Amino acid sequence: MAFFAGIDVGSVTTKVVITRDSELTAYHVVPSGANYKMAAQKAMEEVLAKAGLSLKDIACIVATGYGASNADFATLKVTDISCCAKGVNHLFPSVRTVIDVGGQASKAIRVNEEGRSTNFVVSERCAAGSGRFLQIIARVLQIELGDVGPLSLQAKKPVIYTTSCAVFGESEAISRIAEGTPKEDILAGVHNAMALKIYSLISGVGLEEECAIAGGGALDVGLIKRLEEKLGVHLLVPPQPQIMAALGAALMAEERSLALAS
Amino acid sequence: MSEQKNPEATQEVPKRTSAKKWTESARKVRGLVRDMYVRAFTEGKPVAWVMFTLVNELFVAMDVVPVYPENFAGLCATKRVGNPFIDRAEADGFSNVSCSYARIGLGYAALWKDMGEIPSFAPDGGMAKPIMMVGSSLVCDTRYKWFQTYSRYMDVPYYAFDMLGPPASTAYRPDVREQYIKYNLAQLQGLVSFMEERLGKKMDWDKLDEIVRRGEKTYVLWYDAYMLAGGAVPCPFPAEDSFNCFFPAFFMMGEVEALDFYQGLYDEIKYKVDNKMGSIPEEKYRLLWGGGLPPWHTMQIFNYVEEQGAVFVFQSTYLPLRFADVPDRITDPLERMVHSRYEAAISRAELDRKLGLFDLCNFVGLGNPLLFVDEFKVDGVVMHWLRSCRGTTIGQVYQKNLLEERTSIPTLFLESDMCDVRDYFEADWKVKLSAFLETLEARKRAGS
Repeated sequence: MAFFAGIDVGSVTTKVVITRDSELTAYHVVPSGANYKMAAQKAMEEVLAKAGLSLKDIACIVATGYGASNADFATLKVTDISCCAKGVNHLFPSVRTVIDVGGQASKAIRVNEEGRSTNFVVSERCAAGSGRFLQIIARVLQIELGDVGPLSLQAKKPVIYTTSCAVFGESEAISRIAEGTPKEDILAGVHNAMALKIYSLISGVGLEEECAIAGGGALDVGLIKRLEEKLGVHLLVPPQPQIMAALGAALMAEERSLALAS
Repeated sequence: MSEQKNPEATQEVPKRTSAKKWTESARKVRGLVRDMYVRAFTEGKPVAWVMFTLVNELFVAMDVVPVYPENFAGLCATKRVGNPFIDRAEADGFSNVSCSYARIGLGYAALWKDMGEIPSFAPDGGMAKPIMMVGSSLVCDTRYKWFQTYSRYMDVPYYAFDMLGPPASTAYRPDVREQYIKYNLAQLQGLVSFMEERLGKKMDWDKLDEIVRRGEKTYVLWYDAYMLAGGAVPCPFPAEDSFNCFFPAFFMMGEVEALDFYQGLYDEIKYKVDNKMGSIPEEKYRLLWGGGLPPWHTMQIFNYVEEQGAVFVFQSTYLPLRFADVPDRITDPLERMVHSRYEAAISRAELDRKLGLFDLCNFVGLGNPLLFVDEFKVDGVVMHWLRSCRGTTIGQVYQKNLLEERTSIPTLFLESDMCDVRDYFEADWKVKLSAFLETLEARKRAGS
């Protein structure tokens, strides 16, 4: 049985997944940095080393993400919207709505039973509702990104943000710090603003249970709590939510090989 | 009038951004555009800077060369030289969300004034010095002040007039029709008086009559050609060609060349339709450009979807006006102009009314996407949110909702601007367009 790979060259991190017989064999995540080509190369080399494989063991590679064209070793490219739908569907076949909170943009995707996207909405060209917003606020508050979620859960009186814009949001956070507002209340306010923005995206495709969340933003327990409150549903979270598009890409590589073989 | 010097811009364009043309007619348009700017410098006739207003025939009759700053802005965007003009206009305080057509023209006028000569990077030699500015209220609210401001930069007189269409709910009432026609006629009479005074000569009404009647024939050919193409499978005349070929209708109406152009276009499309000649090799998905001005800065994006088997079979932004026959009893050419334009406006209002749509207005036609998805066998609709054009962006969400309620056709929104390339994010557009095509494929597989 052959191995397959999917690589998601995102704006913040590059994720690569190797599958065999539709099961996860190995995955790896590296920062994308300022050179997507180098990041794609590095991610692939390192995941192959992890799995004890070489490139010739991989029957087909699908690339996705904003920097997909930099993965010149890939066999074909598919959009991250379709790949994310496929990856989530593999883990949660009953899910019909997928939220993807990425570093560059957030997306709401309607998924059919085959794991294909049948409708989607992507956030406009701004950082509102995306992982970038969280990064900016974490920097302002001088905390690690991984601490944002747990700290937000401790909020007693979340601030009310008047904007979901990352630029104005940064100014607002600074104003709140100056007023002496606790960090956890600021973070919970940010999560509420993001949840509102994502809620508006979901309105564009329609919320249907079951609903799952993927992307790096799904690692943030604070955001998930606020989103669940806003949407009124329980969100399914994959064990490694940030690799869903790469997983979907690997599954598509497998599908393609099977189709060619038949 | 003395001949003006054409400085002949020579600056290299960094890369090709315009789309591949699929028809011979579309390939001719670039030459017509260049001619308009060159003629303004070389023919020795008076020049007017004119806003698109459906009254080009008046300038032809008065031997004035009209130059259209809206077209010039689109040309600058296509050549990717618009942003220095935009920067200059913003330096004078014009907001970065005000119309980018206006900002490019205003920046051009300001830079000309600063430098004492036409900026060397202006495409086709730039816009020649006018002796008058003519603006109108048609389509959007920026228009009155836009040309008034030009007149201050260029120190020439300005005339503004109304060209109104009725709300859908009252369009069918005879008393409303009478009032609108009376009002619009008075507006055109005022414009003719202004031109006569400025030019120091009287209108030749017989000549105008000939030009107006030629224009009426031209409008019909334009409409017939576009509608014939839209319904054809495979599509012989994609939207990028259609976005090119409205040029003679908007900016040359009444001229013999415009009539010849649309006769040629109609014949070419008819030949291709009769012989089932499409544009792309395999037409997997038929798309409608359902609203918003096109991205003049990157028209090549239309070829991007074609590489993936999709074609925009129609665009409903620059929709040909459906001209009803003007009754023979109307012999005054001005009245014929007013009558035909009013009828064209109410034909859209009437459509909206029959579809039971929100009573927005006249020339816009909210029901267009709804009508065309069915008529032209469309699989998906793409709309363009324009940061600096409210006039063509307003109503798009309403139109999307309508499509969802009454059809199963999905809609994709793209975001940028018609000219300001700072608002364009190519990677984002490509991902969204590709994902949209993947979605259409999934829907086809599922049989929806």
